[in-house]
Amino acid sequence: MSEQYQNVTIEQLYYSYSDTPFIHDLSFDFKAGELFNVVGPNGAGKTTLLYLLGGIIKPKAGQILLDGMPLSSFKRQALARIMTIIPAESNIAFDFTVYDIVSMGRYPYHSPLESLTGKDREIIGEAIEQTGLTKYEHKVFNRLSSGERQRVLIARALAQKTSILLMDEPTVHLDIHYQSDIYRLAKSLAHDKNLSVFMISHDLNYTSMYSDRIMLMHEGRIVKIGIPDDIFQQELLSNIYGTDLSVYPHPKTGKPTIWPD
Amino acid sequence: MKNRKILLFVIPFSWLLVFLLCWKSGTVIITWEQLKNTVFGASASDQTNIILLQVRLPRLLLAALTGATLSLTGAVFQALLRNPLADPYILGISGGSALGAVVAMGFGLHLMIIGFQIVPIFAVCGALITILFVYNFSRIGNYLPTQTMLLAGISLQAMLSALILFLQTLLDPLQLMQVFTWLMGNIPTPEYGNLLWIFIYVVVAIGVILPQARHLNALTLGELDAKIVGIDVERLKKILFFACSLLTGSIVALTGLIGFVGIIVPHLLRLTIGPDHRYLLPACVIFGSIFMVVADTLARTLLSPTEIPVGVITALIGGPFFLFLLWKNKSKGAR
Repeated sequence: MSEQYQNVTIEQLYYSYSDTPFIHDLSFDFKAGELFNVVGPNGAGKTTLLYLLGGIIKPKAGQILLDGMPLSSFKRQALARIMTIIPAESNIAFDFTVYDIVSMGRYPYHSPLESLTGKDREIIGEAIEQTGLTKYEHKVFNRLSSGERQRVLIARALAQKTSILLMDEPTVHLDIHYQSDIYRLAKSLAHDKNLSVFMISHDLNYTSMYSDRIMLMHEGRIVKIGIPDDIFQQELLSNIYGTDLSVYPHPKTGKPTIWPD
Repeated sequence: MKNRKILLFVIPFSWLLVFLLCWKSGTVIITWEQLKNTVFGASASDQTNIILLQVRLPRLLLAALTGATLSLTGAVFQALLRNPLADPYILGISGGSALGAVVAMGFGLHLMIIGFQIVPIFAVCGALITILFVYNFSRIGNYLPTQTMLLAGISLQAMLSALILFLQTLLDPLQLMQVFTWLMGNIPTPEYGNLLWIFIYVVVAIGVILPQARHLNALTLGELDAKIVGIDVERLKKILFFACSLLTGSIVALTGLIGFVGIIVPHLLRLTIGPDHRYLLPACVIFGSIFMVVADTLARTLLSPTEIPVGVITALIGGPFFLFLLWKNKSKGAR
């Protein structure tokens, strides 16, 4: 695992689709060992921000620094050894198996003509096991349910062994068992493996339970950054989401939980 | 592992066997004895030598290059556009090359400039312009809608055919006849000099495409996913568009429009060896070349001494096959 480049600093980031501004003057940072969540209503610019951070699209102004180095100075392949994205979903036109797709996570470590080494296979096997995919290993990706596919994409990202992980609603298709699993996995990657985990999520209750810091976004701007108790306040959330919400402490953990009125 | 070693022996051997069989077949009956004598330079009659070496062999070699090219570009376009129905013919790219070639022929640019033939260059440019147009026309940001792209390709192909027809009206009768037979899709008997040029183009393009096999695997999940695993997608697409245009253009300039090979061959191979491009692409070269050699031999011999354009043969096999694939996709979608 590459230990260098873990801390991400965003300075006055700006992005627009044609002439419509979409991300306004964002400045924040997230660090190694931290599960950093982004929440906000649809159209707040969360996924656009994730694509900017992942270098998929280029900012119109401002910059993104990885331990002080501008993101734009990294070649694509080198970047893929430092950070990866777990997209909300993917589909494929041909019959690749789960193993084939997870093994793509090792591409950044080889030139096009090299084949997988024993070490690669070990890492791939581990990623498949961590996501509970062992019995699907040789199944065709396209014939899996959307929740299973989402876990394959998570496994591929784990096989990439990056120090920064960007997740775009990784639990959206998962049942409650795997939702808990993925949040726990994300938290353990941050706390035990010292990764920087940036996660977009729509599930406010899970976010409240697991997140270290939360950024609330609205219309391309930062509303507030803080710990769950700072962000999940009845009036603030009701305002931003434009619907009446109530906040109660969780009966066991005492963390805020959010309920529609 | 043992299986692979056997295949390494069996595949070239059967390829050669089929090639020899096709070499032997034709209107003039040639025995294995005569073929052997010609190959080893022993005392074969002059007539047999001419038929085998000057008439049949260059044509068979061109057929092999054509089949390899069309199958390989078909497989590459299918990965690049993430669509199992893509091929240079359906997407209008062959039409683009054909228009380029007809323009060059119409202006009488049959000349060579410093060893380069003008017609293939025009055909390559035509291919390149068409692919860039179809691709950029269809895509919305990071997303390439299949339907838009196929429809754009098909309408472009229709417009290009119309333009070719229009240009034909401007040609004199002799040129017209040449262009007409060429457009139907024919493997001509090329001069060895021309064949060498095409061979060089094809080898260079194949040499560029084959090492991209693993990148193509990642690209079948989409551009976002390919970027995630570290692939410089823009560069990859430029390389592949250029190499495929070079291939399609240089072949179309000689053979005209031969349809469906680019769909049939990659599909059959995917069914047998799976979708991994590291195996699929070389298999397309090997199997595609022999497929075309056989198709062209059928074209020469079925109604011998009359020749059927090979484009007719491939379209008659390919059309139903294409419909079958659509039907299979349809029942999959209804699942």
